[in-house]
Amino acid sequence: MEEVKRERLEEEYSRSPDFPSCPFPKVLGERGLGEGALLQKGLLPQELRILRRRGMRIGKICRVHNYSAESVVYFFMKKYAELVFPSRSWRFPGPKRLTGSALPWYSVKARACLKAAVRRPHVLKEKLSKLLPLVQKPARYTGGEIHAAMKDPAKVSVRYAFAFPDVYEVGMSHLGLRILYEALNRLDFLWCERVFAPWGDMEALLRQEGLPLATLESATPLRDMDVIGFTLQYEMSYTNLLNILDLGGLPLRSCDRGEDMPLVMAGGPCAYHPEPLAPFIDLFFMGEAEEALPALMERYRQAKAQGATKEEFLLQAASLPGWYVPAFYDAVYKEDGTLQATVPNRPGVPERITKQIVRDFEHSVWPMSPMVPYLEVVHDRITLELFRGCTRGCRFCQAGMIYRPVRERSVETLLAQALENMRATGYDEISLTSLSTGDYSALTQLIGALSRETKDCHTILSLPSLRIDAYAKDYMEGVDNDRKAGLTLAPEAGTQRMRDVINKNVTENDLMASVEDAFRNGWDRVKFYFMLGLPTETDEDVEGIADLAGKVTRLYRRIPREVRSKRRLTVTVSTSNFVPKPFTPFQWCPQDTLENLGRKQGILRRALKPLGVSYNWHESSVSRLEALVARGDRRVADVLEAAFRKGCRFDGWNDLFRLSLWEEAIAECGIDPDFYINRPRSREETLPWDHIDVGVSKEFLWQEYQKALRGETTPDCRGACQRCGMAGTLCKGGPSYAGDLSV
Amino acid sequence: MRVIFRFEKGETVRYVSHLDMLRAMQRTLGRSGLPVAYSQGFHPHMLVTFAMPLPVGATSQGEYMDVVFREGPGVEEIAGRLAEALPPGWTVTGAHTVADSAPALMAMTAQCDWQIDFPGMEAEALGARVASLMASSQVLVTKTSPKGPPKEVNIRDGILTLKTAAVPDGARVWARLAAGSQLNIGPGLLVDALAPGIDARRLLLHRLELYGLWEGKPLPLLELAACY
Repeated sequence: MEEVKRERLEEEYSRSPDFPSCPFPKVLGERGLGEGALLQKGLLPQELRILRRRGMRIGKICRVHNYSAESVVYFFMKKYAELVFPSRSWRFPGPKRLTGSALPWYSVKARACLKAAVRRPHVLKEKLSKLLPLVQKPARYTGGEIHAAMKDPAKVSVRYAFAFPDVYEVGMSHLGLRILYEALNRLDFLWCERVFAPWGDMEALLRQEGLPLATLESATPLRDMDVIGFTLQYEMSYTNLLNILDLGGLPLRSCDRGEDMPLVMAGGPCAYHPEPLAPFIDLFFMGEAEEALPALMERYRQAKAQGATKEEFLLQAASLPGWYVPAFYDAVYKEDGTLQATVPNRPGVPERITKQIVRDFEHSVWPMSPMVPYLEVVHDRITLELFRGCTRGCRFCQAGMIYRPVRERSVETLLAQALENMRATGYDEISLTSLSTGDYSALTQLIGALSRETKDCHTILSLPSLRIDAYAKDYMEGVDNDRKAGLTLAPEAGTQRMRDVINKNVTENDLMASVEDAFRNGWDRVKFYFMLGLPTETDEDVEGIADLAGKVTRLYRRIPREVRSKRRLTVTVSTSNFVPKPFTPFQWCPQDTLENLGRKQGILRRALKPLGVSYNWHESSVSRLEALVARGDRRVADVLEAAFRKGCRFDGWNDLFRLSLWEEAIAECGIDPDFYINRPRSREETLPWDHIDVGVSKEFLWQEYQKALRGETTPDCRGACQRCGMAGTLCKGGPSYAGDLSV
Repeated sequence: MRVIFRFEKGETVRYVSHLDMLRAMQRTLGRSGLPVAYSQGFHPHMLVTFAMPLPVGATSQGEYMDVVFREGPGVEEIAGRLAEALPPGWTVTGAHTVADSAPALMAMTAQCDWQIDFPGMEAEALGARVASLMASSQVLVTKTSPKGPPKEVNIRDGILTLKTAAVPDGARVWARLAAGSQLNIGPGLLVDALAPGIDARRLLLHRLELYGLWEGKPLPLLELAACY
């Protein structure tokens, strides 16, 4: 009896002319069963929304004879799955008896199938395409670039969304995205797609139309993905992260996301201090992910095939090195509000999480055919990664500590990558990147080889972030005269005393010599980067910045006109505000107060104006919030959420930063910002990031801090190991690191 | 050797702006490995030019690109290698060598065929509008420009032919409009005249072909190139 009815119902479905946009035929609509009844019988509200969004009118789904609402829900799912996903690679479970008691079993299974089925989001794509003419730069949302990974969703079992919490042009400039996109899409069972933070105009339209944020490649709503992986590059992008989750149809907090919701992960440099995002992220990775992430995805595939729960999978992940599940740890506070400890709250979870690195950097994953965006992105060129890590030991620099140890790539590998990238992309510009490109041990050979090999291709070679003492004269003569951009130097501090404190081992003589060489080779634009608010900074140090700028302008005038540029010299001084970051020797320091920073900017404004030097400074209130998030603990998460709810987005973009909303959010959460920002921390205090092991020891950082206060410098560790804590585990120490890292 | 290519811009790349397309085509030529000639001088650039910018959001089967090559392996091989290197969404539909002395594509262009879809619009109402528009000697629309105040212009002389028909979910218009440096009527102005108040951004614009004049007769640019 049951069987006959089912057959008839199915037959009637298939006869409906409205397939597939409206799989429920109108003929059955006589004695209807409303949405309310379906919800009551086990269809989840989000499923109802999915179905409704896909153009289905389920206001009046029929009741045929004595068919139960459960059966209708079940058939609804099954037919829909079959229609939109006809490849049959999925197996839809057929319950033997469609009775109420079987509901828990089949609704779970059917739901899983439906989730797979609705992954062909042709309807969503069409709806999104109607919004595109109405937004600025619609190419941000269309994908379709050459070398973007396109796969058949029926042939993969894991769907991964690489989420970048900033706009397309920023995200597509990020090398980490390119590398992980390549590493993940090499897995044949997985499809890694991209999603970026939508600009305000697109967000408003999505919210107005009730459409979910979807991936670029296949226009799949985020909540229908298996995994969403964020990269954390900058603290002020965290409200965008929350916005992406929200627009994707996911509850913000891990505890509110059920089994049918994607796993939300995060990695990148800011993930080393995960606590402010702890309630939102299921799983963090500490380190370089190009090897560990594909390995984890293999485990995810198995777990998914075995029907493991999220909790089971997370327990498995937490036992692997480098993976951190914040829900498995409790933050315990003392009476004075400082942290007592961050402790595991269940067995099998390690007390400390250790950073993972790529040991064989020479042969690690490299995208030989990177995507070529249509839009002009921030770094619109081929980027070669010369090495990871930095041995300089600048005390303010978080990257210099967390990316240790140094691992170089050989000239041959880099040259092969450059030529292959050029062939595959058609780019005519190559840039060399690393934390300190001038320190690459074979820089002259590399530049020589690149210019030799690309001589006939009209290729431009650009070299960012060179340290000033690396500007050897022979390099400057090698640079094509027509392509000379401004010279950018970062002395970071204005006096030798201050530079010694921060261990920026550059003298004024080095600097003046580099600048003079540049002037004599035709440069007439110089840009200097400095920081304000460094520990122990006095007004004299601030005035030192203006003195230095003055010396540079006088130097230019002293050089005879015959050997320098004929144009007027342009000098620009930019100051940022120092943010004491975790895992640096200054992690115990307070940030300078708003008043002080403002006063110091005033000193510079007055001193630089008569010199004819233009001056840019970074907004102090943004730096203050950056410090709050960068140095906060789990309690700061509430502020992030409140700020997001109030409408904060793109806080790193000066014109979009809304201080008043942040102030309201802080006040509502009852958090004292000075506690995090302006309070010096003692050596004994447990820091919110102490359970993360980045390799560099806390003891070494403290010793460096003490040396800084005494104005003592620490030499580059390529000369002699400075015992930062990595030797013997991740780093073999000593003068040469190229390639071999076996300990 | 100078070669003129005709190509299609498909649905998936309709939001690629003119400027972004220029870069994309230069990179495509770079990927193809074809011996493209560069300009002399301080900032050498590829000798690549295009006929007419397409509004963002429009598709086209009448896009033209003019490339100078240092030496030529033959136009068919060139077109084949270009087609292979093109990103998804673009298709080469023709190529022809052209004399070095021939004018630039932009100077050749005189007329342009458009196909404009008005979803949800009654074909009859639109047909009536077309008839009255073609019968009148003056069609005034307001032209806004980023510089200066908006001004009224008569676009009637720029509308050469205009036809309309019903399509499954609305109406479709085919128009031949004046294009190029003499008189240029964009599809947006025509839409303003046909259906005032409609947001032209929401319509589906499709460029069918570009024409130049040869002895007073319009010829598709690819055929015109062969005349020089």
